[in-house]
Amino acid sequence: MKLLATMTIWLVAALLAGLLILRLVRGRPTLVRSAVGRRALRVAAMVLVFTGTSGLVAGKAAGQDQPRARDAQPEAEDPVFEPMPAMLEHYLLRLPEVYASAQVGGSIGHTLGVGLALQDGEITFEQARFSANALLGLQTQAPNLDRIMREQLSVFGWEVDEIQQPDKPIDWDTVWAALEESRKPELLHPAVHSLIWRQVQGMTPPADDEQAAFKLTMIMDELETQARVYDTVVAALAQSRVAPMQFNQRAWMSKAGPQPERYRQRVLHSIPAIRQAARSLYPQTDAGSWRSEGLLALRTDDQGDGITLIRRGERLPIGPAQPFRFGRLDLLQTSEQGVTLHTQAYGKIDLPANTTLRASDLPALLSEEAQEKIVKSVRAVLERPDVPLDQEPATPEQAAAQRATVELERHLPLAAPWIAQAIRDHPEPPGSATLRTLLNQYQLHAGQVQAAPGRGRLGDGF
Amino acid sequence: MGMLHRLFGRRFAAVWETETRLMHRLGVVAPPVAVQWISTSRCDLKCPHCYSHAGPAEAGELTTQQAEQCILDELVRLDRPTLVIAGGETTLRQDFDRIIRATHARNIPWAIHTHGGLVHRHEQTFRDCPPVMAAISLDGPRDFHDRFRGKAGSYDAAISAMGLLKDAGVGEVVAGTTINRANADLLTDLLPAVLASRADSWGFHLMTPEGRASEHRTLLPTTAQLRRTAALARRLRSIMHVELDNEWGSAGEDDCFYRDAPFTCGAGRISCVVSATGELMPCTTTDPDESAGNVKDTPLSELWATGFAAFRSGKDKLRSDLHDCWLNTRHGVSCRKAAFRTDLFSPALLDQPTTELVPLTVGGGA
Repeated sequence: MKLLATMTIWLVAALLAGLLILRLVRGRPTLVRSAVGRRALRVAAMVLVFTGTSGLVAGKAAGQDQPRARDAQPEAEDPVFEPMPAMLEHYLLRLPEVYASAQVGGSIGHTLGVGLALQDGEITFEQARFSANALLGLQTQAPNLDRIMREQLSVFGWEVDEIQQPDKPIDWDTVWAALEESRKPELLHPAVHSLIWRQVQGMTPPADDEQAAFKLTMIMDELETQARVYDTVVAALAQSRVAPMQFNQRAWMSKAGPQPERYRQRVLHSIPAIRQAARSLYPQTDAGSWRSEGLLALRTDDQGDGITLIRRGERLPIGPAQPFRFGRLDLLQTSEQGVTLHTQAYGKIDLPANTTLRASDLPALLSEEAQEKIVKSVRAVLERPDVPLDQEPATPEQAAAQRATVELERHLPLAAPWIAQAIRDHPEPPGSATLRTLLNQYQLHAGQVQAAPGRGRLGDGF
Repeated sequence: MGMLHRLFGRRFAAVWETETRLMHRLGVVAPPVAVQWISTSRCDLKCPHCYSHAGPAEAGELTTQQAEQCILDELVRLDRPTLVIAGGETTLRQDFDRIIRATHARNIPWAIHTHGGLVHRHEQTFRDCPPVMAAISLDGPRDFHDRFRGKAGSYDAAISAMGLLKDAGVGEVVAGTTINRANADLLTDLLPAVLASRADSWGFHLMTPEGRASEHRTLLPTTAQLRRTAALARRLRSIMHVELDNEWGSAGEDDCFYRDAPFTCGAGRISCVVSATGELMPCTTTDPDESAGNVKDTPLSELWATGFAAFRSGKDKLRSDLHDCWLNTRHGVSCRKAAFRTDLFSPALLDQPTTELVPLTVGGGA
């Protein structure tokens, strides 16, 4: 090994010296046509990178970038060591089998999980048939998940004749059992997570029911864990990629990625490295867009006890006059006195005492004035004029619609029911298309409509 | 695969950047991976986001003979990089079939960017000489697409072309959507059509203020739209193959959630563009000052070896930044921060996009 390394270094040095002489003789750049020469140059670059001396030629540290913005507050002060969940270990063990399957395509999106096309209610009949068949095929493996999916499909009217209606409403135990089933590597998928999350949002609130509140906490924690596991696998696949030495980007095909077969082969050659990377990546991986989108910025009132935020199964006390962010996988628990929260744009929300609340519980607690304000914003977006091609600056109506869109985007947990109602009542673009995008941002689905609370209706002609 | 492969795979971007600079220092150049040829400026559509002023053909466009001699023969000398034939609308060239067959005869892999409307006229050529990739433009749902492109039926033609190309045996058909302020929020509505189109992947481009697009800067997407679209793309990747294209720049450590391979700008380093009149450009910019020379006057292989020093040297901060799209940064409309770094509650979400052209920084070059 030592001899090999020495010889490599001498060869590289000889090559560099030769090239330098050639450059001096010719006086202008030369094309390197030989594959051996190109490979030697790549090895030389690698030596520079891995010895930390790439700055000698690159000018600055190569490949560095800024960290991403994260929703980091509030967090436990002393985070404990987080072991990798058994689900991720199991997934990694099954990785070669998953990738060797002829059923999976090349890209990450196609490869992980079953790839169910459940994201959009406007999906074509062929897509619906594909999804329904795929779901029905899972029945024997995952009866509880299958039951939830059947109900979901019936909402869209997909393959209604082939799908039996559930014989009783979904209960907490069924949801939990479905989540346990979705830990299976072949079922671990964001579409399944969003499906279960939507199901949970639509179920009867667990007010005054400690046991139900406990189950809700477990379900949200499990959803977050599964979302993190998925993103961990995606990141580990990227970080542990094995590239042939002659590999180059596909400059002309940036709009695509590596060919499916090539991608599959690359992954299959990287399995040990992927496992190693996943173990170190999991503790620092968050739940992706669950933690960056569909958030609500809140502040507790100056008076009162504050509130408990339940995140990842941890109970985080929020004191009086303290700002915090409420995500879709978070829960709020009030004390015996109840609490008042302040929103950015829609005034205050009075939460009842001794209650565990989900995102979907908040809209009904908004004041009438706040509901009217949401309706106004939804209307501004819905009725926005089309973007002109030759008009500068934008019209006041367009500017107002843009502001309203951002305002709604920042209050999606509160505004979602009215957005959904507007889409249902007025499906025609362009305004409704923006609302569909927003709703998709929140519930990862633009088609399912959640009923708006009784007050603050959109009104005739809306 | 051994340790070197593993090390290279993990630090690909850094190795590649170092290699580019090292080769420049040593006075050597590797052949390009891809050469795009704007085969004509002629186009039967007048899209507001067009990066050139496509419409009528330009004076001095390469003839068939010039194309074969100045491009195809030179690509053979350059170890046969992929020829990406584009326009204008490339299928409007009378000699399109002949050039493709000549490309195929030389064993040069080729790819095509087209609006798809005339693909059916060349079906036999696509069957006989299938490209490695075909990208069809799709701007939005039918009504929007036809209105935006100024031609009724262009949406149906694009969808039809994707099916035809798959039937013809094209390995990779890509639906390409150029994001602008008018269509950024229509993507959710377009998704079902893309899923049903038989496209293998969906590429999100970004409008760049060059050519005709520079006259429509009000169409540049807002900060909020860029952020929203990137988030949508990340989610969509769990159900289909969506990629954020070069104009978006690098998402750094998050690149894996938006692309299958990490972003590094290849302009003048692994790829170049031959304009309709034969100017060799680093990318699709229409700025004549960036030309390395004309392939009619100097062999393409020589221009490639001697040109684009500012992109390779590392001394010109604007052109040598491998982590962003030079085409956008030169106009002050880099979107990386907006798309990948902006917090949901940042005041920047209410900002309007830059509408003033930022003067091009003249770099040190080497």
